[in-house]
Amino acid sequence: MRSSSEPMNMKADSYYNDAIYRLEDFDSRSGNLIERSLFNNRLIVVALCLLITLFLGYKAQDLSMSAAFEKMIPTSHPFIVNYLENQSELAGIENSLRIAVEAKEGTIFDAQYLETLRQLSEDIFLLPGVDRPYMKHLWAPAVRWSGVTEGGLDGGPVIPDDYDGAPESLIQVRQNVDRSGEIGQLVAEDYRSTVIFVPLQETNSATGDKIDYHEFGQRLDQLRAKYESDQVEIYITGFAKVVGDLINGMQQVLLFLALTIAICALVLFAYTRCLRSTSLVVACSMIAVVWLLGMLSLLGYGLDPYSILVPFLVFAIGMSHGAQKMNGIMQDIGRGTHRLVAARHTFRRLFIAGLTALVSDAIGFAVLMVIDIPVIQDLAITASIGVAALIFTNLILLPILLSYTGVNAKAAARSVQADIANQEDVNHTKHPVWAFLDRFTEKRVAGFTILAFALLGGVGLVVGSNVKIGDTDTGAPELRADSQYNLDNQFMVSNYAASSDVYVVMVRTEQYACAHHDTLRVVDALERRLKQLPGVESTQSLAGLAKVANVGMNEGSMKWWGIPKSQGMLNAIVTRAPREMFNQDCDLLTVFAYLKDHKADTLSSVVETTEEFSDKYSSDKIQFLNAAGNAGIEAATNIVVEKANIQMLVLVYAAVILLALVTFRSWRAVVCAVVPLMITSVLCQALMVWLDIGIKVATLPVIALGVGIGVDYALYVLSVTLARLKAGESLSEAYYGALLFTGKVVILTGITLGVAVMTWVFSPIKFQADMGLLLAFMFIWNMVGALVLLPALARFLLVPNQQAVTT
Amino acid sequence: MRKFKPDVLGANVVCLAMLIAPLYVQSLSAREVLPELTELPAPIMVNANHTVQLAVTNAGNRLISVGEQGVVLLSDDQGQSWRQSPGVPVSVTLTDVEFVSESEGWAVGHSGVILKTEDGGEDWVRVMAGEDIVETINDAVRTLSDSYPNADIIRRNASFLTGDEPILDIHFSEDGEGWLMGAYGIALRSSDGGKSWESAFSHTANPEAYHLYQYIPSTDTGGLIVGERGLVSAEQGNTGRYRSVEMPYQGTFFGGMALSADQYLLYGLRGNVWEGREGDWTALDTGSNASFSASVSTPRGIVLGDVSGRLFVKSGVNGDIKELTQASEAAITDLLVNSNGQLVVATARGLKIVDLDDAEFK
Repeated sequence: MRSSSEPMNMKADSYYNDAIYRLEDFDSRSGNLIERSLFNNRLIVVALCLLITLFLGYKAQDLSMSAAFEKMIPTSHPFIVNYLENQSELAGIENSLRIAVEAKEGTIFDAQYLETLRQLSEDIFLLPGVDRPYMKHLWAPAVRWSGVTEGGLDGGPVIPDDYDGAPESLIQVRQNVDRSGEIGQLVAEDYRSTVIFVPLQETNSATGDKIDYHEFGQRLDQLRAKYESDQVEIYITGFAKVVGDLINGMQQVLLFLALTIAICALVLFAYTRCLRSTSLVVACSMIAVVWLLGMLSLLGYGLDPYSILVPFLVFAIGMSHGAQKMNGIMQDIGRGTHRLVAARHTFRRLFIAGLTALVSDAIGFAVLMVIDIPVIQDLAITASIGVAALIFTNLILLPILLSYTGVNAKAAARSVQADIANQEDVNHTKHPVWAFLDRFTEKRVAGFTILAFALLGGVGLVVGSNVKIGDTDTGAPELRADSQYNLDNQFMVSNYAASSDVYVVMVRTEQYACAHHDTLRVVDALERRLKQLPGVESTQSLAGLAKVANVGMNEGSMKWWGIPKSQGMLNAIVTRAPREMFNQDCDLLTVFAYLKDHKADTLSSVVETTEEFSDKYSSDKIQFLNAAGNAGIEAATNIVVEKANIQMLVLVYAAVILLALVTFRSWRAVVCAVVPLMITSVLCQALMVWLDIGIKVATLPVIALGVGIGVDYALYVLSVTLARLKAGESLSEAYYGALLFTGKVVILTGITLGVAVMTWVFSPIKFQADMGLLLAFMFIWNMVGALVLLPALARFLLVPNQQAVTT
Repeated sequence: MRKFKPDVLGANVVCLAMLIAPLYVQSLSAREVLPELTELPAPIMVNANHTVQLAVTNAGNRLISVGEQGVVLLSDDQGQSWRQSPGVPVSVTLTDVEFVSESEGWAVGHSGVILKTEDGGEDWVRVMAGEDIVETINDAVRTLSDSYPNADIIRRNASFLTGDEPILDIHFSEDGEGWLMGAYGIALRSSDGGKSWESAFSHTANPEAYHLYQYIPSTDTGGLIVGERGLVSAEQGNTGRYRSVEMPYQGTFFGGMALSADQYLLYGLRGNVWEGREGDWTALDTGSNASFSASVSTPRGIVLGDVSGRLFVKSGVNGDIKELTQASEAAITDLLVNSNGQLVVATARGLKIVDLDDAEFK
């Protein structure tokens, strides 16, 4: 789209003078091969497009939605490689649910409460995907109390076999709970809630079916609705619930697409006042979206919370391109040219330019391919498919359709009249906005403007340098802080000794050596080091368990606190240890670090401590591997994201500068075009600091997309300005002329793109809202920069050149 | 305009290659062997004040507490604030501490560790290795005459010792007589203030090699030795040898105190507190299931602490035992009254002060 105005300007007169009123006067053999083969077979093209649309539309219905969590992980980072290698042996680390049932009045030692808990746990037991033998709750036979007696260890189920709900029974339950060691784990310290711990099996071992998280999440919500009452409140946390909520959120976001379409259509209609052509542009842009969705389905891609945003962008870009096409055709028709001829002329003028523009938009997306995070690479591919679809729908199909329908005659006449009026309006009185913007070419104003922007950029740079890496919110950062999920999570964190940020170090040993004293001694040393970190709230490992168990096996005497030296004792401990602490072959141990938060500093302190320890003490017999657990994965993601952020900036600016250099062949013009973008990027980072948004997977693409698409404005305005300067006009005249010609299109594009991404702000998915806000800021601020800072820079950089030419 | 495309794509390819290039190589070269805990000086820890603390004592105006990972905590303000002693040469769990003067003190711990300080707990040296203890004991039992009760069993028990056993208790009386108790029946005795130790392994009436948890001194008899499974031994005459005391309760006693010349209070497993003298023991009703782990005499009576963190007060002879509202969130391991009359409570999560003046019954 960017260069469309350039040929329009330079060749406009010759085209307009050639107005062909009757179709018979037009030589259908004129134009290049592409144009002839398309326009001389219009019906076939339309029919073909219709068929493709029907086929892909049909296919699009099969498009699956997934939260694509595994795709947000930088799979080739060594941490993740380690994690994936050992994943199958890390039982119960990632995928489990914790469902807290709170007694709103009184305590859990209430017959009715316990009955509700029993029914709910039975319903959960029946859900598909639940790893039933390992479910834990007060009623589960595996949940036992134990106590030291004179005869050794004694124990039994927490809810005794002869439980009958009578007061004596309840007293018994209470005693058993106290002796169960589950306080803080399954039972809250205030005795007002208990947890149903539900481990999940991602893949059903019998049938091979994968859990449908969306359906699973809905079943959980049904259970919540069924059991919540005046007496009982239910809180659900866990990976599966986050995924379910994310997919729910995505469906909501898809509704926003309708809103985006409506708003963009209104904006366009306000611009053209022609219902016929506006509907066609909207229709063609929507066809591009349908093609995109159909192609994704055909290629085996699904929609994830990132790629679902691409249809918005594709639609908005399509609208801008369509508006250009339509504008050209409308003006031709307004001058009396037959609609078919107008369409062909416009195609002839704009196809190559439009193609180039779309291809260069795609470069912005292509840069994203360097980031080693599958979800972003998918985003790049998805966006490229969308842009490819636009080439057909908006560069080819749209002019052909317009050649059938023509445009509203009044609107066409108005557009030409406006053009003529503008040419006669020597004193620039007709367009106060353009006249105002033109003042930025005056030396004094330009000086002040540059100073102001430099100041703004400086402040932005200072503020923006504090931008954080990673997520800054607690709980599930994908969802909003006040979402049901995060409120539930808050409840868990404040009532149970469980942090939602778990960092897991994997310890590889020789086979059957996991409980050797030497192994545990070294593991204990690592655990002690981790405990020293301010961000680590507590740790857990077989070594720590051995200390507690040693006390237990010596009648509860704390004097025995320590890893026993006796291997026989250690073996006895291992047989009682929970299965998440070591694997079946006894050659993999896990050290859990429960973190205060998942801020970058916290994560990197754990990473550094572990790596330093590993460098020192890893051997053939024992290796310490980073990292599993949500915090481990996040640590790896942060490392990749931090690196990628710099790579991305360098690459996207290299691409844009190269593009501008090839287009203008003048470094001065490149400076005019790129500096406003840079200031926007800097301000965007400052905005992130201000809004407390960290650099994360979701915000990485923002700058690439913002700069890649944002450079369009500068190219529009600058190409016309440069051409007019070359023709001998003063900077003010040239810029005003450029504004008359492209100002509306720039603003139209800015608004449609801004609106399209603005709707994301209402997404229940936090990072989509962040992306929407930041992208909208970039699109709109880039537009302001192109209209205000660009002419000011041009005053100092381009005019000396021009004066040299004229004098 | 189309010309630039290959350039940009080319540049992208180059950049792509550059970005992929730095591969992560995991080096397995640098090696250090982590020393055994008995060789590893206790690291200074940020959370030392919240570690498991197992015993607390005083030396002049200073309080000294010992616990897990070789942590020794010192307080010069009667337990209001603590700092970690920098000079502990081991990282094993230290189970007990005893000072014989303001500067001279002893600490014992796992793996047969015995430490000594001459400067009030700043610097410690290991005075005897676990192997030395085992050797001393085995040398002694080897010379036992076959007529000695259970001589064979005692020799066999001694032969199983490895030197890795935890030492659980150390005590010195004012005349320089020292006792050292440990797991699997380890018992040493010193008559010269700890300069030399001799085996008491065969003297404690412990043929089952039960863990010995405490030596309870008394003013004019030889005191009691208490341990696992109802083991209570009293001195036989003035011989330095102990004989078994018949107890009505056969659960483990973790400790106790002398109430008068021949009157004792013993506490142990599952809420058991017994009071009396040989042949005349009374169980006190504590109403508790948790094991008792510490006791101390205070102006308000004898205070007992248990492994669930609760505090009880026994006031007067044969008085009731009542629970206090003040409690610790973690197991209580030792109790001490400081010079301000406050209770210093050693727990599995560090030390805590309880003002006995404010203490209320539950």
